[in-house]
Order: sequence, then C-alpha cells, then structure tokens
Amino acid sequence: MRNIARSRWTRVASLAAVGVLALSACSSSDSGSEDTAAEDTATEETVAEDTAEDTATEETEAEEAASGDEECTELTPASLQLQWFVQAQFAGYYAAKDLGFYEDACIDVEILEGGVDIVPQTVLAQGGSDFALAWVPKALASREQGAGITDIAQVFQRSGTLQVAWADSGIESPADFKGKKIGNWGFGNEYEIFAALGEEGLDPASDVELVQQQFDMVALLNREIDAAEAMTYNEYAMLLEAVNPDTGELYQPEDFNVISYSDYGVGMLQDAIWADEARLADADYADLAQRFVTASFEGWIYCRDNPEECADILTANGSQLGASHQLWMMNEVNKLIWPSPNGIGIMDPAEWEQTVAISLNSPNLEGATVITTPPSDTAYTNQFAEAANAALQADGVDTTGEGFTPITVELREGGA
Amino acid sequence: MSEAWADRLKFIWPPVLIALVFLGAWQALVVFREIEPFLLPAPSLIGQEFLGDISLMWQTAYYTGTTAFLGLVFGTIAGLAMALLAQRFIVVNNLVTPLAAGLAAVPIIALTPILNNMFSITSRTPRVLVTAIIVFFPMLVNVIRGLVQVQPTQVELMRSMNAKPRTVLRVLRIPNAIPFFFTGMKIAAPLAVIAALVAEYFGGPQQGLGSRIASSAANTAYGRAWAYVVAAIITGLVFYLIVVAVERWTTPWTGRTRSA
Amino acid sequence: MSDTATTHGPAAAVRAEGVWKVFNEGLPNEVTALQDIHLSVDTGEFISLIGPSGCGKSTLLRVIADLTDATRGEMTVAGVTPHEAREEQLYGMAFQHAALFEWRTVRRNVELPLELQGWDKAKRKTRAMELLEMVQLADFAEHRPWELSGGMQQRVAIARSLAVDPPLLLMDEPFGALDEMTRERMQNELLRIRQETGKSIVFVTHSIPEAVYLSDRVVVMSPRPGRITDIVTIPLGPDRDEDTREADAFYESVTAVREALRGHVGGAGLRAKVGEV
Repeated sequence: MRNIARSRWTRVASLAAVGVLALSACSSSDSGSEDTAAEDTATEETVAEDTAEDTATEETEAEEAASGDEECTELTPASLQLQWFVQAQFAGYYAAKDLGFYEDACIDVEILEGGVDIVPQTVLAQGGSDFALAWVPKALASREQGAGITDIAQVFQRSGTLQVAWADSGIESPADFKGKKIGNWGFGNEYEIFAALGEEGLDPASDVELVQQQFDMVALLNREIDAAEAMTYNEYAMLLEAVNPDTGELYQPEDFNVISYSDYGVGMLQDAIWADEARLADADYADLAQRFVTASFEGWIYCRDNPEECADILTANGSQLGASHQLWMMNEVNKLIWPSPNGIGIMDPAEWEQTVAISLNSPNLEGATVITTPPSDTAYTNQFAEAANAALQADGVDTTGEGFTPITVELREGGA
Repeated sequence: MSEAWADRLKFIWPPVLIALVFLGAWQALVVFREIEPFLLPAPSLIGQEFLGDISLMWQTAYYTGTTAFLGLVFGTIAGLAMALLAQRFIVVNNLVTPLAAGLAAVPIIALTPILNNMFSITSRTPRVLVTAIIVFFPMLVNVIRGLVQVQPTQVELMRSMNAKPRTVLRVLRIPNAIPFFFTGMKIAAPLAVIAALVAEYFGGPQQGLGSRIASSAANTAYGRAWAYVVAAIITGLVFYLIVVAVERWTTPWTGRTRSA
Repeated sequence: MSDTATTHGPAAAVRAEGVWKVFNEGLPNEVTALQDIHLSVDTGEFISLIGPSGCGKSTLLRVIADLTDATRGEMTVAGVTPHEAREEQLYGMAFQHAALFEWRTVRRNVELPLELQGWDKAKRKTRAMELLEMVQLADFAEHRPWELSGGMQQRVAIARSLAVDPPLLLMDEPFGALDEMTRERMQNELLRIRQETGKSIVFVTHSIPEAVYLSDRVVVMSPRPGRITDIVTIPLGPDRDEDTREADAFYESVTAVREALRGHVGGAGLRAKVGEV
C-alpha cells in the first residue's frame, strides 16, 4: 500500500517554494500557439463533449473487446496533466475521451490543460494528477530531484525539434552555427542545441551567440536572429503561415533551411506518458494505468487514420489554433509517432540511450547538465505499452503504422 | 568596541537572528520531513549551489545589475527632467503625473514583449527601457514633491530678496528636493533590479539572473534556481545600500528634527 | 511735543497714504484686509504693529515688502515704490520661522542675500562673519542649522536680514515661536543691533510688553476691516535695558496700549488722535 506522507504543511511549504519562483517548465509546451500569452494558465478542466460519432462507435465496440475488461459498473476517475493548452499535440487523448475509448475501458478521464507555470511531472509527483505528459529530459531532471515518476509509454518516438534559418543565410547544419545568433526558448529546452554544438566542437559560450526567443517567430522574421528554434508541428508552421512582404504570398519551405536535430543524432525523446512510480505497486493503480495506456493508444491510432476528424475534435474541445494550423500540427505529430517500428509507445533503447547520454554529458552555458547521475532502471517500463500493443494487435489493429503516409496540409495565413 | 559600532550592532542583530531562526526551521523541516528537492530545496543545498560557483553567480548578477543600472540612470534622468518641467509649468504637471501613474500600472510582463518586438530582441535595449519606464514614476513623483514642497516662509524670503524664479529653483527648490530624490531612489533602485530580472523572462540574451532562474526551475534544479534568487536579493540590496550611503554622505541634514 | 509730527528731515523710511488692500474685490467673498491706512515711519524709528488676528498687520508688512500689492493708495519705502525698494534691496526681512536653509552652514545662510546680489566669495565671507559677530554667533559659523537652538536660529535670520545693510528692517513676529526668557534676550539683542546700526524697523507682534519695550511708537490695529485705530507713543527714551521693564513708565505704556487695543480712548499725553500720524 502506498503511503503518501504528504502533510498539509509540506504541501503548503512546497507550494510556496514553487509558487515564489512562478516560472518553470514549458518543455514542448513552449511551442504554444500565439494566443497563449493571453490565456489563463489555470488548470481548468476541458469539458469534453461526448460526441459519439457513428464511425467511432463500431470501432469502439471492437476495442472494448480488445481491452478485455469485465462489466463496468462504475467508471474509475483518472486525470491526465498536459504540458500545454489543448492542441493537436495531445490529440490521442482527446480523441480517446471524445470517442468513448476511455469510457469503454471503464475510466472517466479528466484532462488538465497545462500552462506557462505548470510543471506536469511535478503535478504528478505531488499527487495532483494520476498521469502526466512530459518530455523525457525534463522528467529525468525532476526524477533526480526526487520526483517518483516512471515513463510508461514513449508515445513520441522521435524528436520534433528544428533549428530554422533563412535559405540565404548559409546555415545548413549545426557546424554553421558558429558566430551566429542562435535563438532558443530558454526554459530548459536548449540541450539539443548544446549537444549539437558539442558534436561540432563548438563552445556555446564563445562560438555562438545564444538568444532567447519569445513564443513567436518574429525574431527570425525580422532577421534579428539567424536561426530560430522551432517544433515541426508548431513554430515552423507559424513561418509558413506568415505573408512574405516581397511576394504577397505565404512563405514557402524553400525560403528556409530546416535543420532537424534528429538527423544529427542529437535528438532527445519528447512526449511520453508518466505515472507515479511508487503507486504502480498498487494493483488498482497499475490496472488503471494499463487501461489508460491502451485506450490512449487507441486514440492515437484513430488520429493516425483520421487526422482531419481529430483536428476537429481538438477545435471542439476549445483549442484556439486555426483550422489549418491544427491540421498541420496533427499531421506533424503523427510523423513523430508513426511509424513506431516496435509498436506504439514502446521505448526504443537506442533513443533512450541517446537521450540519457546527452542529458548526462552536454552542459549548458552555466556548466549544468540535465542530470548528473544515470537514471535508475525504473525510469521507464515497456510493460504497459507491450501489453497494450498485444491486446490491440490481437484485435487486428495496426499498432506500428508501417504503412503510414502523412497527408499534405495547406496552410493559410495565420493558420486559419 | 566603539560606541558607533555598538549602536550598529544593536540595530543589526534582531533581523539577523530572525533570518537564522527562519533558515534553521526551513532546514529542519526539509531534513526531518525528508522533503525532496523537487518540492522544496534545503537551505544547505541552496548554499552549496551558491557557493559552489560564486564566479558564475557574480557574472550573472553583474549582467542583470548592469541592465538595472542603465535603466535606473535613464529612468531617473527622464524623471528629473520631467519633474523640473512639471514644477515650472502646471499644465505639464497635470498632464504628466496621471499619465506616468497609468504607465506605472502596466505590468512588466505586458510591457516587455511589446518592447521586445519594437526593438531588437538580441540587445539589452528592451530590458533597459522596461526598467527605465518602471523607475520613471517613483522618481518623477518624489522629485516633483521635493521641488514643490518648500517652506512657504523660505519662498517669501527669496522673493523679499528679489530672487527670480530661476534663482529660486537653483538656490532653494533643487537643494530642497535632494532628500526627496533619495527617497525616490530608495524605491527605484531595488525596483530596477526586479524589473531588469523579470524582463529577462521574455526573450533576449540569456546570461542574466532572470533567464537563469527560469532555466534552472524549468529543469527542476530548484537548488540552483534559489541560489540565483539569493544572488538577485543581494544585488537588490547592494543597489539599495549604495543609495543609502550616497544619501548619508551628501545630505547630512536629512531626518534631523529642527529645534525651532 | 506734538504727536502728530509728520516726516521731517530725510525721506521717511515708510510712508503709507490711503492704502487699501481688498481681497476678491467685487466677489461675494470680498475681504477688506486694510482700510485707508495712513502711516509714516521716520528714519531710525522703531514702530510696532499690534492687534488681534485679522487686523491686517502682517498684510501691511507685506505691502511694504512688495510681497503683495496695495489695491489703492500710495506706499513709499525709503522714498521709492515698494517694488523698487525690493529690487534695490532697501529692506531686510525676518519671519516667525527663521527659514534657514538646512543644507547650508550658518555662515552660508547669512551669505544668501549677498550671493543673490552677486558678491564674490571672499567679500561674502568677510561680511557674513562680521554679521555673525554682531549677533554673537561667530563661533557657530560652520555649524548646521539643526545644531542651533530656536533663538540662535533667529539670530542668524536677523544677521541675514542685515546682510546687504538695508536702511529698513521688516520683522513679522520674529520672536513668536520662542519661550519667554529667550524672547526677552532676543529683544535686548535687537535693541542693541538697532543702537549700533541706526536702522528703521517695522515690527509686527502679538505681545504688548514686547511692542512697548522695543518701540518708539506702537501702532494699534483692529480687524474687519483692518485699520489703524490708535498710535501710542512710548516715552521710554533710546536707552533701554532690563530695568526698563520694571519702570513705571513701562507699565503705564503697556496699559495704554492694552486699553487702545480694547478700544478705549483716553489718558493724556500718551496717544495720538486716531488715524492721525
């Protein structure tokens, strides 16, 4: 039985500590939409409209059998803490909720939106939610500081971080960063850059001018910086949604040089589902985790096969992003998940090693690395993901997405 | 021990004692409750991080301190200039004071992104401007007060000596305003540090306290984040104490009760 | 000797003819602070203005000093208009508050009028020290105002008012904020200074004994509207000292002034007719 020894006093003291700083992780949440600055960062519950679509119902029934659950008399409540506001980056979970996959798994899921000052893995570790989404490096750092969390499903299989420069800038690889103004979001999202610089033998302190960007692409568009950090699924689209004053048309991919950190072997693992490690010893929680993971995977699979509908689901759930931007995001996120050669959510050991190595060895400007000691073996587990894959495959569901082809998305100005 | 030092010690020991008791309680809480660092770092951890790389703390504080200093200087000059105009021309006073109050109410978090977009985000300029804007209002208000709140008898005296308004300004109002100037500075100087720090959260060069606090906190390295906070506190204190020292040195008459 | 003596000899120190001061003229809150003032102060004469609040004594002083304009009538100060007198610094002024500048030393406070007149540094210093000698505060020249008692600060203020050596001194209750003992000492000081310098002095006060002790004539005023109701000549002669305060003539003069303040007319030989100079 887990003993959660959290007295009120501890909670107050710890909340005071966290609250005073009042600024922490965004992780991939930095790639928030332009409207985020204006939005409240309250952990409001997104009210899901239980729209049971016709097409979904059939699949739901199939999945219900696949997840192999018994008669459901009362739904188990469960909460999921997101890293940012509702957007296609979290499509699978919203789809699973709206399409009834969670319900069929006998779970009543409450999705908690993130925000600028919300650290999802800390919320999880403090017992504020049952599960959380977080990028692996930041979660490992929290883990090293005592947060008892475990990666139970590595949903995003590859890094979506880019460094984008103008096509005429001559910057085509990290080696070209030398002597340039390299933008990044700060807030702990710059380690891939440091790793890339390290690989090229460049000293971040003297060979490069690092500049923190705001959560827009203005600094690059105004050529105040030479290369901007961007996520494939978000900030990059912001560029392509902006009008080129010279042509009167939207910017085209040819106008930019896109450097993907994955291509240079310095990508770090990103969105994953994290659970409370100590609590996993509790059979009920472990069972809940299993059901949650399986149903979430169903949601992601649905979104792989029906990206437009999932984009609509996000909008229906209150996402502020424009329609074309949302669809772009959905499509790009799919590319980060699919194909999952070992099956969705199953950790690729090589990627894990790479992420851990960079976390241990690439110092930032202050000389600090993400973690100082290697994470223990319980940092992640494939137990739940493997069981989920097995159950779904038994029902004939494609869990690897081998034949996955992305759609073409046409962006409109401002992402409308 | 000389009397002056004995007096100063009497002054200092209560807050020091309270600080030590507070820190001791904090440390005890963390140790006995076994609180993890990701919830609440212990003072010992913070101290370790701080002392462990003092030169880094110094460099970081120096960077933000420079921004704060520049903003303080510009904001003060603007405040002084406007105060002189406002004292001389009542129209200016009636126009500027409410505007300045309005501007002061705009929070730094709203101002900074706007200025970042207006000016180059790669330079110090937006942050210095934010700081200057924040500093402007307390300086303006206090210096106006100092120029205006002269003893009526002294004004009559000057008139009886056939002094022109400009002479009254130079000989009476400005010296009279000096203690008020320092009152404003005692507010503005620590405020400048805060403004410079907060402005760093919104983009730009990353060597400052604000950027590093945010970055450390984002990586759950709260011990280090708090160490930078300590550096920020020290910086603010230093700014304040310098103002107090200059005040004491240049205006020995402040705070004396008149005997007549 | 007739008390209606008008000016003779050199130009009167102050001469008021039909001076009125009306505030808010024509408006509902119109106030007549001074009504038809006729007054002449001889050169070298010490006169006091005394009366209850609102009688216009301070206003009259300010009209003389050109700190406010007369609504009607003619005022001459040392033979010229008040404005010219102020421009040429023909008078020095002292107030109830010493109004020393806290940020200046005692000496530099005394130097203030000289600075404004453009005197050079060395000359200013010499003159300031002279003046401080006269008020017996030379030892405190480099002290700061807050280090001095109230009485000492007033002495500095008086020294300051003498800086440009004006023929006329205007004083608005300069000892009003001091305690009785200090006050009497200051009165002696003032008399001594007057002996040494021979200046004309117009002195506003609330205190009957003070007015009597210091003055050649006491001008009694009353309010609503502010006007001169009486002028009492003080027959105490130029040499006055502590003993004077206990002389019969002193008490009689005090009584005469008190009664004039109450509005009685009477007592032979001591008072001029109302309104006449």
